[in-house]
Amino acid sequence: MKNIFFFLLITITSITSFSQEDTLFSKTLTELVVTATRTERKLSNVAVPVQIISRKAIVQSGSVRLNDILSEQTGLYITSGGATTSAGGGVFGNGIQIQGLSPDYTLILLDGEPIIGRQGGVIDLSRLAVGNIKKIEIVKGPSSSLYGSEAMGGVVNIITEQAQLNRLDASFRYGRFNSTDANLSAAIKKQNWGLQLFGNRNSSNGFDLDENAPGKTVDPFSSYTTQARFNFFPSAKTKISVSGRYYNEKQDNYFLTQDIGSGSAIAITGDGKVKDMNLNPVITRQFNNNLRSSLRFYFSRYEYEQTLLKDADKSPYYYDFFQQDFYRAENQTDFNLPARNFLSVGAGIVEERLNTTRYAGKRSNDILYAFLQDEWRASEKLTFIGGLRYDDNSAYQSRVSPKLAAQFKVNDKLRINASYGAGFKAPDFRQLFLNFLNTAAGGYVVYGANEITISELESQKQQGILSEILPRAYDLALLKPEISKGLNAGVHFDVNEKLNFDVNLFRNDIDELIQVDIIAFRINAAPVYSYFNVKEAYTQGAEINSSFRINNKFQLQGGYQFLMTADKADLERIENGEVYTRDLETNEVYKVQKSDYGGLPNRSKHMANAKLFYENTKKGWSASVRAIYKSRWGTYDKDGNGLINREDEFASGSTLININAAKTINAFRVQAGIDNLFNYKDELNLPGQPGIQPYISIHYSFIKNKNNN
Amino acid sequence: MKTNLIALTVITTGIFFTSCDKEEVPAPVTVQTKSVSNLPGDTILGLTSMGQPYGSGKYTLYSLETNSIISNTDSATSKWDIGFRGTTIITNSGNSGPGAGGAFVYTGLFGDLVQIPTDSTFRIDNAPTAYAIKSGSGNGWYSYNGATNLITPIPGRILVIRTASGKYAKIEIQNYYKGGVTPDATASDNDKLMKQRYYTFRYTFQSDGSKKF
Repeated sequence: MKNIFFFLLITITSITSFSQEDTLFSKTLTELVVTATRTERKLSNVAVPVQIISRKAIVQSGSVRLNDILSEQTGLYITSGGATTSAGGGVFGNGIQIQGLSPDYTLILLDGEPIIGRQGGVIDLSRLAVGNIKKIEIVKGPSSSLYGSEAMGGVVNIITEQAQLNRLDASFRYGRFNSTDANLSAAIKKQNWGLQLFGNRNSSNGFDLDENAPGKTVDPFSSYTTQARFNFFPSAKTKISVSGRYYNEKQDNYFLTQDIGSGSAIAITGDGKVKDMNLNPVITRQFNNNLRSSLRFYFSRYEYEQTLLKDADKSPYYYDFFQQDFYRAENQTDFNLPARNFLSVGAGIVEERLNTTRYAGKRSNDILYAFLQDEWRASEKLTFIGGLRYDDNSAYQSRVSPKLAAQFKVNDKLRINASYGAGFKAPDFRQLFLNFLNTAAGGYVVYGANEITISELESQKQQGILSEILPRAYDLALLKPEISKGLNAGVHFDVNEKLNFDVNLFRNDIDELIQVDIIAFRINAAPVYSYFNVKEAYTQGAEINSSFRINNKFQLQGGYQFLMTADKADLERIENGEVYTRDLETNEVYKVQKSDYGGLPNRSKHMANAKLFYENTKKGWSASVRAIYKSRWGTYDKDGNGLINREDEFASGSTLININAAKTINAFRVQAGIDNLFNYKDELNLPGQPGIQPYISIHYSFIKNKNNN
Repeated sequence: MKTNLIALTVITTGIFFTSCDKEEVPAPVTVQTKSVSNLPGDTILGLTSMGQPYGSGKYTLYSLETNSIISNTDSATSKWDIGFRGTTIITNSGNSGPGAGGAFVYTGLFGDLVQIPTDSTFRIDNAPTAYAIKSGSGNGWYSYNGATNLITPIPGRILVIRTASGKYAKIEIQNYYKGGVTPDATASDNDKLMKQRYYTFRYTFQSDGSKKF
């Protein structure tokens, strides 16, 4: 299947301009981007790699949740979620990798404010409905100079609709597994205020990939999203905006577990609940042509609660509660300075609080930060950007994140971008504050780096709690953030008004990755763990995107990403000849070669997509065929050498074909489609992939064009 | 694989070393490589009320010299060389036993280890935290996968053993599960627990006291 994509790419590249016929002016030239510089800029003036997904693309693809539409974009790898299988598949929902960096290192913003609530490092993208998304901006490469923690691999900014005119939209979609998605949105626009309302209900009966195994692969769930935004313009120069969102999800659990020893089955029931809410008041004033300032406040809460009971006697089996609060106040002021300099300065304060059954009591951490960025248009052709951000806090080492970018417009058709940026991810609360004695599994202890000192260990040894302190314990220190340094270099080439190319090369060096290590032994020989900055890794590759407008009805898009990743220590072990494996058939032990190394798990070396869109505005027809390919990817170590190398440690590559068609009649739009047309499944490695999914949806749209009083 | 579950099979290979010096009478060194399968090492009897698996708590003591299990009543003698309990392997040394044992972990191929390096240091047991063969995932002979709860011997890790009587042996652990087959990742926890702690390994014992295999 891989060959199809190369064929398509070659086809795209080999098609030259047929004629000079005048078509609709390419939209990309005027498209605005806010995420790359935190100020509105034309996409063509942005010096860092940016991908934009329009409302139209979301609608044409028939997407329902954020992971649906992101999974069809070049270079974005959606990590699998869904089932609580012990093998390979992630259990923490659908996260996103950018440039090969894990979901932990990707910042997800909703209208510029961070989405919180990571489980196992992952923001589950299926928490986000797409019904009110105006566009999605994806900035690739480290961007902590503007956004601080988590923006190591890149930033996804979801920009929602704001009331532009009076309208009412309603839609309903029905698909396989009794899955439903209902949306209702309304906008009221008056002269000096506007109100946008949105509601979504999403549910599914879940599905079962293995009829023989008890319980379902994915249990039934339902979720509700409500969002409201009120914009008020007291004067022509001032905007006050308040937006709020509430998300509520419930999943019913039922599965069988075994009594160890007798092997008899125990039925477990219960449910998992997720709540997620945020509130975001913003006031912006354009003081004059050269000065603009905004003050933003943000509060967000994420709550997760799982209660499991033994079905027979309703006695408790498992309980987990996790609550995270995030408060932020921030000012950003933009200046137009002489000599074509555009300066943005900002500062803010963050308080995060955590309350969970997993830690000893509540924990909180405060961060103060300031950033500065100057964009200098040295000439019509040459632009430089320099940025710096400082993040200060008490719980881990403070961090300075620089960024440098340059753009050279060779001519109207060709522009060259290069950028260097630093990213970081703050140690998470677990790494800082965990204080955990596992009474069930052998009495081991895990301390967050801030919960233990060497003198504390020494006093524990004197008290007879510890039998031995290991040399590693003397390395205990204030944790440093995990950091990345990224280089991006690319060209954008408009061959003509119909055909364009984007090529970007990237390299990310990731350092100070945090891992647990044993620092001492208790008298019962149980280990005591804490956290250290130890690991290093890299990701590098190339991304190519092309878009070709065949005529005013057909558009062809193609994309490809080549990715290489490695854990640097693993690579060194292989180079030193210290890594061996066991042959699957013969059990013979032999040395692992560098060429056998599969890099970091959960990454495909080759990813490609090809999409054909058709639209006949006059007759109200539209359709699309989209193919998404990813090559084999590493799952987990099976031969015991700690890295991905053997054939059985890879999941096979896959191609998903999604098709749909839609017809618009007056205010109604009916869309029918099939996702995963060829029913691709991999129950072991992709338990969240249910196979073929036909659906039908109807959309009603009422627009009152007149802008009265 | 499953046909020879019970028997402790012995495979004999002869390796001959020839002296380079033609003047001397060649002194061939003959060593045997033996395979042991399904050797239980304190197999799991059940779960405690806290959910912890437990066994009898006793080591299975083994003599490499005689290729046989030694009774626990002889634990304070030099009859045994190594002992197995769960993932912990002890040597008849230090505070584990009265013997002259010791061990270290060599990284390389079993067949390539023909001579114990002269600069190598044999560690002795200091239970319960510092065994000659280091305990813990990735430290000694095995790696534990927290996602699948499976134990896998690290390929290329050879246990170099000094026996209770001060002779030398090399061991390669091949599997930790009954029948020498690691359960599937999708197997039930019950399966994974009840089938574990059965050692399959091969070893070469050098009876002449030299460090050559």
